[in-house]
Amino acid sequence: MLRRRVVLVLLTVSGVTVVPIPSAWADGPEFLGRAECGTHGGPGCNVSAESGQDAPGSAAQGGDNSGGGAEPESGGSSQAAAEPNCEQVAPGEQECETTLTEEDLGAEDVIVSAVAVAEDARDAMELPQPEIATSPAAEQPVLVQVPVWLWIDEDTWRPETARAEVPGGAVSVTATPDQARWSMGDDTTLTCDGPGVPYVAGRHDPAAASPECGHTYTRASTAQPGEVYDLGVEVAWEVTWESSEGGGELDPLVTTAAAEVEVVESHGLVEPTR
Amino acid sequence: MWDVVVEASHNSDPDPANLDRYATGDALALMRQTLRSANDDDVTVVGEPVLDPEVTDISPQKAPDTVTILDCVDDSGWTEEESGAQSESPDPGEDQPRKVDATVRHDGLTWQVSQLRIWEQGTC
Repeated sequence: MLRRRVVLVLLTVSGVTVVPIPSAWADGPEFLGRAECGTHGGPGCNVSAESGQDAPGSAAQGGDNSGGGAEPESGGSSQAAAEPNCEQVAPGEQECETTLTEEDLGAEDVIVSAVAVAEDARDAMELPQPEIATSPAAEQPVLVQVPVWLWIDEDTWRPETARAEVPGGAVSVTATPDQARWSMGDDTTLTCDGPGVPYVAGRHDPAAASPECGHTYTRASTAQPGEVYDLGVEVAWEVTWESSEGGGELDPLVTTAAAEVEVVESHGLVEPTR
Repeated sequence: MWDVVVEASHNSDPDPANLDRYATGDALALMRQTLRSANDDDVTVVGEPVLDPEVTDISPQKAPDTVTILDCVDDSGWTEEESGAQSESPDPGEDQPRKVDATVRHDGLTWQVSQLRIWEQGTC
């Protein structure tokens, strides 16, 4: 099976911008505050060697991760961050561009920078909308007391990966679908740890419930607005990132889809109605 | 390097002559800019920092020429008073040591601080 791959090309701001800091400094009395370049910047972030040695990107900095990867002068321009901009280049394949901000590049060290890039890549990822599948199919009325199988089409339930090139390496971000949270429209919600088993006629017993993810309506939908139940699903994606400098988890992503199910009572069944 | 910078800060010396014996490149530029900015603002600097350096990396292992240092500098006692202006009372919540990342390189003759990153207070 072909796997979709999201190609993410992140353009980095290169070069050194030396911005003279106005000497208006009234922030606390410590002398070293003048040399500070912290997580929120500071006067010390805008320094460049007159000698030209140890220029950013020079070989002299290779292999120096804890101190060398975080040179204040690797900041680049202070232009505002551009929103990641994705373009469909082939079916299922996107190329995205974004601009890293000074904050991204001047972060604590290489690992934190990689996190910032990973978060950009996560934000730029476009995950497929879950494709709801049911049996009996939702296009036709479903009978009460008949087990309904629920699953997400496998084309929309598989890991998606985005890769971002950064100076000195690459960061890959992978989103993996984890849980499907279904709301059935009749006040029932259920959480399924997976896409659910597709119903296959001839292999599965239509009278049996899905072994993984299913629901049996007990009341017709005639009392509902539009005389249908609003079926909804939220797919929770676990997002992880990896680079040569480390990796970790990012905030999960959620995709959603909705459908309508008409549930009717069979006239052939003796069903006590209120 | 710190001894030279501390002394220069007390003397309002924007460019101490022997600083380039201990610092080079960006670290030297950062220290010069810092001293110059204090001199421009005509502040009086008193006290000194308390250092707590720790070597975190030495490379290459054989015949090392680069040492990475993680320092936790308590600079709450190294302060400035603006002349002519009422000195602000320090925010007690910010009087925490700050992290300083430094890279020290050997150029064949001497060891010099070549990279320096001074974080905000409360980072170590």
